Amino acid sequence: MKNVGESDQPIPLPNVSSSVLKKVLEYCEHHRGEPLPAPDADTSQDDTRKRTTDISEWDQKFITVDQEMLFEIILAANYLDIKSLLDVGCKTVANMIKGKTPEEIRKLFNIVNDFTPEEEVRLLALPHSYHQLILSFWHHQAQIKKENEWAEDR
Amino acid sequence: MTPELPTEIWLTIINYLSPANVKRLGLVNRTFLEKARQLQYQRLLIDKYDEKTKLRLKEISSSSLDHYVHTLTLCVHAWPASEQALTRWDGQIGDSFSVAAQIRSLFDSNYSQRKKLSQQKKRLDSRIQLVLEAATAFKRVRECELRWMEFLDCPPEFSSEVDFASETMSTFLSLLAIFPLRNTLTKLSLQIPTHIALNGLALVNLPLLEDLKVVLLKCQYAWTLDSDNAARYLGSENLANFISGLSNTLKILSISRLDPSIDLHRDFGRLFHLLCETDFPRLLSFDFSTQSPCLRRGTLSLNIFVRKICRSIRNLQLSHLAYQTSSSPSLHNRPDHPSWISDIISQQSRMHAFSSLTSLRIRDGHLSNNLADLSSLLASVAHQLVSFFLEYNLLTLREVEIVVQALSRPSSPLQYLGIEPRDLSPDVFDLLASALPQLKSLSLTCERISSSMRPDPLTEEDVRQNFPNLFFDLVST
Repeated sequence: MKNVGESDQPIPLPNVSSSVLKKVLEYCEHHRGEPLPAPDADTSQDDTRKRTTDISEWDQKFITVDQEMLFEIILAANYLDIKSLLDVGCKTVANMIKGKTPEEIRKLFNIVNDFTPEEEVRLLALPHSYHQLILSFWHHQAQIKKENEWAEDR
Repeated sequence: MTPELPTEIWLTIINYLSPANVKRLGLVNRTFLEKARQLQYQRLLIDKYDEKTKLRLKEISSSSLDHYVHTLTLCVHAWPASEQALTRWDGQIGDSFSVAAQIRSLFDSNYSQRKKLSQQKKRLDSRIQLVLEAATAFKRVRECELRWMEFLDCPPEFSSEVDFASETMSTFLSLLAIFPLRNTLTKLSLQIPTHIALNGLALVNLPLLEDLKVVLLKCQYAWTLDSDNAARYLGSENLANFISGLSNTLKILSISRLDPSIDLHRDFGRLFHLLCETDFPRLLSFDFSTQSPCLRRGTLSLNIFVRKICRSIRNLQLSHLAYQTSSSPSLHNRPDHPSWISDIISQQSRMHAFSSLTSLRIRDGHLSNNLADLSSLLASVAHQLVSFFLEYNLLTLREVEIVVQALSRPSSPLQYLGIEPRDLSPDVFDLLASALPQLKSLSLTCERISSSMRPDPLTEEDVRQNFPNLFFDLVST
């Protein structure tokens, strides 16, 4: 909104319904004055942020809405570029997915399974080593961070 | 009806999930499989060069997952963390000869040495083969990282392992030139030891590269090597030739040298002298960090280079990273001699040529002696500067005042400020609030928090009233 400046003219928000906007404003009002990330914030901090799905108590209560409203809030946060609200929404969806089987996820989001039985068998047989590879990458990133800190301290 | 979320939001959501959860999500339907794979395979790390890694790479290629790989990281370990890890590494090395070989070495004094060299050659060939396969199989690699990794406590008898790692690193640098890798890379990060002459790099041409980060490290095992100043000098020349070859595409250039033994005058003087011969029309960001103690005489070429790019760059970061020794234990000591950054600021403050600069970060513990030039430079860019950080400098209230006055303008766009007042007192806040009320982010690091010269202690409410736009107030000591 910073580019709009001060104006009495209404600002059209075609992608956000009034009930969703009301929720968004409630969120903004509660979090008014809280820190924004600096433009050149360390990306490693961003990585750390991504690895946690902790949500504050107030945010958790705020985001306890039905799935339709949750997705609408996420879309509005994305459209209005409210990063912290987008994070809360995405973490909530991630928490909903955690620990669920593919079938349970399908039911949760009303998704149709479009795999053939052969494809499903093949996918289930994929070696676990891929995930080991990713895990190893994350572990490596943490190592690199430690080493960089050590190198700078020297 | 529940609305659809766009792919980028699903990718953010998947980022929060563990690999096991990502795998299950990928089994939901084709769309989710695509999204899960996009995240799972986008970054590929190769830090072991063995049969297992080879098999993994083959699995990825044969399952047609290779096009998801966008980032390739290759690690070269100068010395594995433990001897046990070393023998597991990639083939038997060290004293792990068979009994027969040991008996043979009794009659042939050079046998063990020849055997070692032969094993190393085989290992190098296997590594090259593996990296070649990866580089040719993954056709959409946009980012590549080459990392020299070191651990402490290398036993002297394994010094040949460091030589081998150096040879591996030199070879990997030249492999950047192979097709299709060379035609897809847009971002390259190199962490290389300074004793490597970078011969292979000089011949590499990457036609799409926009972002280059080079970190030159001092090898901890320099005692095992024929430490060679000529290699460093040649390394600077080769690095300059490589960077010059990227002149038409390069937007971000970052060079750090974490080796205080490099001569800024000789080695880096040569580097920047050669870079001055080339135009970088698209360069927007330049970051130079060094650990060398006060080497002023070497800054002439660097100064000319900065002058050459000053009209186009938007982001400038100059860091004099503290090299702590027992005689200079503190970051915030003020030595008598100003640093190379002072020289650059002194020169550039007279030029008034940073016509596009919006972000400036200076890390230098020796700058307080030269605040007049800094304030002159800041005054010349205050009308356009959005972000300014001055670190490693503990400033007195008077010095804070000089900096703030230089930045203050009726319609200043400055939104992000970071400074280090020695004493954090209400007067500092009063000063900042009166001169820069538009700030959105303020980072303050101090040595001590002073009680007030005013009758009442400073409260959070005071800060909020004085900075109506401030969202981020970090106060650290």
